[in-house]
Amino acid sequence: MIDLIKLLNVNYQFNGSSGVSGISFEVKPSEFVLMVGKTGAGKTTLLKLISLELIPASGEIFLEKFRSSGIKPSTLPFWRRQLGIVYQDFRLLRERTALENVRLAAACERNLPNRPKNRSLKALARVGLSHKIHSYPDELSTGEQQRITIARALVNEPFLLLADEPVSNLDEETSIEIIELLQKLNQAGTAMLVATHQPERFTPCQPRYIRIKEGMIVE
Amino acid sequence: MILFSLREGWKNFSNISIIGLLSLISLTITLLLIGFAARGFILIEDWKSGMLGRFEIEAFLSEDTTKLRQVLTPDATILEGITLDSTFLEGIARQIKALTDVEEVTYVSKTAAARRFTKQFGEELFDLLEYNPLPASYVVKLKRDADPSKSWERTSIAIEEIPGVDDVVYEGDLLLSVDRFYRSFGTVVAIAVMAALIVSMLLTILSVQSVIRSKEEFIRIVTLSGGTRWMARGPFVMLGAYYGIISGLFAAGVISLISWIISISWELGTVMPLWWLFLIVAIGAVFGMIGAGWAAGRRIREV
Ligand SMILES: Nc1ncnc2c1ncn2[C@@H]1O[C@H](COP(=O)(O)OP(=O)(O)OP(=O)(O)O)[C@@H](O)[C@H]1O
Ligand SMILES: [Mg+2]
Repeated sequence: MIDLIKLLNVNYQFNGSSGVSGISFEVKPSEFVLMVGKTGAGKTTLLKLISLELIPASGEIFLEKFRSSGIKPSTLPFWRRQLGIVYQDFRLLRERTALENVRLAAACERNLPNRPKNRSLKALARVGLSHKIHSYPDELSTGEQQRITIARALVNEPFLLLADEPVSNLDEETSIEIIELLQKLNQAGTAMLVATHQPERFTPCQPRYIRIKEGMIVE
Repeated sequence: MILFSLREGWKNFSNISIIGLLSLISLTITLLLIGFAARGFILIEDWKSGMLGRFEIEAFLSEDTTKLRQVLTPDATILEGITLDSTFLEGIARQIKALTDVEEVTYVSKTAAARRFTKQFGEELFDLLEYNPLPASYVVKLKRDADPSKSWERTSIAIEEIPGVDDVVYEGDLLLSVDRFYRSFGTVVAIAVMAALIVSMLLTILSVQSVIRSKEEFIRIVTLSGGTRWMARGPFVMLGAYYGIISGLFAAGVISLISWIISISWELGTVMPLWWLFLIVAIGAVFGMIGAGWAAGRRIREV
C-alpha cells in the first residue's frame, strides 16, 4: 500500500543541542500510529515538522504528491489541507464560540462540496458537541475544548490527523471518551499520528508504536 | 475569500483600540481637507472665470490730431475734434482682435462714452463743459482660458503699440493678486493634505500592525489550517478599508452638512452632488487599504 506520509532522515535543530535528527518513518492510509516518548523527547517538534510549521533543516518529507524540500509558500496551504492538527495547547481563540473556532478552519478550505458552516456543524456533531456550539472555550470543560480542537482538525476532511498529547490534560474518564472518539474516526478512514507519553491509554486502538528518545527514533 | 475577509475584518474593526480611533480621526481629517480643498478650488475656479469674463481692457484712442494724422488714410476727413472713418476704426479693431488672447472687441464712440457718462453721473457735469472730453475707446474682452498672470499684461502692451491708441487701462493688479492668492492657497492646501495624509497613513499602519500583533493566534490558525497568505492578510486589509470607509462617511457627512448650511444661509454654491460623497468614501477606502496592506504585507510574510 502506498504511504500517506513518509519522512526520510529528517533533521531539525533548535539553537543548542535539542531538536530531532535522522527521523525516518511513514504512515499508511487508515493506520493508527502512536508516537511515544518522554516529555522533551521531540514529539511536538516532529509534528510541527510534518505540518511544516517548522521547515526541516535536512531530509525530506513526502505528503501525497508534494515534497517538503524547496516547497513554495504558495504550495504550503495545499500541503496543510491534507492534514488535521490537534495541538497540545489547543490553540482555541477565546473570543470565538466553538462553532466560530471550527468555522475559521473550515473557511480555509474552499474546494469541498459542503459549505464551511455545514461542515463545521457536522464536525461538531461527530465529536458529540452539537449542544454546545455557541459556547465559548472558557465556558467549556477541558474535555469539551479538546473535542472542539478535534472537530476543527476534522472539518476539512483530512487524510491524516496529527494529535499532540490529545488526552494528557484530561482525567481518566474523559480521556477514554476522547480515545474512543479517535478510534471511531480512525475506523471511518482517517489515519492517525498521535503523540503521547501515556501509551497504555491507547491500547484499545491497537496502534503501531514509534518510540522517540532525545530526538531520535529508537524503535 | 472576499466574504471571509469582510467578516473577519469587521471583527477586527469592532473592537477598535485608541490608536485605531486616532487613525480613524486622522483619516477623517485628511478626507475633510481633501473634500474642502476640492470644493474650494471649484468655487474659486468658478469665481475666477466669472471675474475674467467681466474684466475688460479699455484701449483709448488718441485725441491728438497730429498723431492721428500719421495713421489715417489721406482722404479721411478730420474736422474740428475728430471724425474717424470706419475703415480706420475697423483696422484697429482687427489688429486687436488678431491678438492671441482676445475674445471680443467692442468700439465705444465718443458719443457712446458721453452717453454712458451722463447715465452714470447726470447731465449737469457734462453741460458745464462746452465739448465732449471723453475719448473714443475699444473695450476688449479676453478669452476665458487665458492665463491672467501673463495675458493681461502682454495684451495691453500689444494694444498700446497699435498706432492711434493712446492709453490702455485694465484692472491688472486686482487680477494678479487674485491669481497670486489662488496659487499660494493651492500650495498651502497641498502641503496640508500631504501632511495629513502622511500622519493618517502612519497611524493606520501602526494601528493595523498592533491589531495584527494581537491576532497572531488567528493568523497561525488560518495558515496552519491551509489558508492562503491572502486569507491571513485579507482581514487586516479589510480592516483598513473599514477605517477608510467609516472616515469617508464621516467626512462626507460633515462636508455635505456644511455645504448645505452655506447654501441655505448665504445661497452660495450648491449642495454637494452625491457622486462627490461616494468619491470621498472611495478615496478613504483606498487610503485605508493601502496603509493596511502595507502593514499586513510586512508583518504577515512567512506563513
Ligand atoms: N522553540 C523552541 N526553541 C528552543 N528549543 C525548543 C523549542 N521548542 C522545543 N524545544 C526543545 O526541543 C526539545 C523537544 O521539544 P518538544 O516540544 O518536541 O518535546 P515533546 O516531546 O513534545 O515534549 P512534551 O511531551 O513535554 O510535549 C526540548 O528539549 C525542548 O526544550
Ligand atoms: Mg509536546
